[in-house]
Amino acid sequence: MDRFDEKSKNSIVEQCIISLADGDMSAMDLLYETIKKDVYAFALSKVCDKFEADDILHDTFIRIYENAKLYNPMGRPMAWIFTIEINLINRYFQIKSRNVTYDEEIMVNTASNDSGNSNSSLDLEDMQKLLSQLNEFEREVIMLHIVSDLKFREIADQLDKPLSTVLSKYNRAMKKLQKILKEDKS
Amino acid sequence: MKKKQIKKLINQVFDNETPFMLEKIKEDCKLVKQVEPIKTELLETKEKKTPSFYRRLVLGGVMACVLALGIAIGNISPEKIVHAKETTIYLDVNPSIEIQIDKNQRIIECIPNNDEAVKILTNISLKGVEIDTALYAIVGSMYVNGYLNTDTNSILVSVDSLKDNESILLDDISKQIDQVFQDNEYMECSIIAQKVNSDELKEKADDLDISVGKMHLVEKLIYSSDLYSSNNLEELAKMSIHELNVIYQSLNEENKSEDVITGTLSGFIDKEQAIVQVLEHINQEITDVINYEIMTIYHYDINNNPHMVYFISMKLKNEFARKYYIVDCLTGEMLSEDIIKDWFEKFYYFGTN
Repeated sequence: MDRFDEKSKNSIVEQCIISLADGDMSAMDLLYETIKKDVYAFALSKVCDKFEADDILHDTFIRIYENAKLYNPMGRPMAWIFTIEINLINRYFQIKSRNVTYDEEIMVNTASNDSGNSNSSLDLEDMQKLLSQLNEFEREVIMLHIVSDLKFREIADQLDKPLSTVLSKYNRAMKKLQKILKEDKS
Repeated sequence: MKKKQIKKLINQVFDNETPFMLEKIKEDCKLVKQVEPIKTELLETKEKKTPSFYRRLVLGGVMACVLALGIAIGNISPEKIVHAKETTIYLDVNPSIEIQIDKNQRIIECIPNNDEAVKILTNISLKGVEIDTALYAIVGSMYVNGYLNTDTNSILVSVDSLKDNESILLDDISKQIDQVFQDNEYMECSIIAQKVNSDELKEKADDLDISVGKMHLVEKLIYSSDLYSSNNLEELAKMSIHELNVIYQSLNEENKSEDVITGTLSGFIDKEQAIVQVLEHINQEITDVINYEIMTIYHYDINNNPHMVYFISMKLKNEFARKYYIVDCLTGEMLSEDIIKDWFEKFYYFGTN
């Protein structure tokens, strides 16, 4: 996506939120089509579970609708949306820490034991396994940069980390992915 | 697999696999009542208490405890018997501290070499304390006083010993300092430990008002790097240890072979990251680049202090002329772009000139 597209995406998203605030439910169609991938990829990078990511995707859009009237148009709607999503994810982790004994290590181990993927095309399960070999921060940076097309500076602002850290994590994560995919191929 | 292909692959997966739940969302929205704004105060303009704030608070607390422990041990320890000076350790962050220890590795004296070091050592009595405890307290005090942070730390340790145990000491002290940072997973630090001869360096160091350790590092950079000569002595002396470390890391291994290098140098971007930053900024991929050159140089900020930048010249497939960019080594910020070389040479100093 080039910079023009990115600007146009931001203005589409912003306009959709404003329309939702005005009660125009049809704006949800365009909003969903425009940002579903961003929201879903970020959720999956954080929770590493397809079903939980589905729920977070659903709940994020509900929260966007619920809070649309509180949105202040400033040209950065994705930052607002990711803030909503991060809050939902944090709540998910709070609940999980009380109720569930799910361990991310299990997923990492499963992934590392699993081999033989053809990486010319992957499905979501493969992607989950691939991403589970990165740490949480690396996954976030990868998703926000590659899928959501955020600039590194925007990611640094969003995640409240220094730009240099974001850049270094991104490079490290890409190298890891290259290595894993290369090993898988061989 | 190239990075571009990985990007494409990841995007493909999410294009194909993101679930379609629009209808359910729209149905469920009907059950939700929209929140009405009470006043104009808005969600994202609320001041966030960021995780890093809490993190710093917690770290500050931990470090303060460590510092208090150091003070307590220093003041209360009944065992303060020290012997004659055997080794001098110079600790440089920007606070510069000279630590004299005896054969039992107990502190004889800690001497602050600059005003920042005076602040670090205020209220700490370390006489008679073992070096590992003292290092914990000093590093703790540096953190509490804001000279160390969570991301951009470099410590220079220089050892001048009467005995032939310098190499072991270098190793020990590096490990002890590294342990302080290992104990706190949020903090990263790069440590350079080197042997020095105080007698040879003292006069030159005093002239430049820097420590013996920093003087030795600066000289090493001048002798080992093609980019710097003795003309650059004063500029290099003005740089922070972290910036000097950035240059030091780019030296050949043989020039660093006597030193002990521990930890991770973070808080600056490496050359590859600088290229990524430029490409990101101009919205190009590495495949669009025919060739590029990158070098680490320094330039003067508005306060006339030198600091490190990457100077990048790049030939792109779709551009007729070669482009020049300047990226800050520490922040990754693009300082100048698409500049012409003549203009650049007027304002930026090349170490090779």
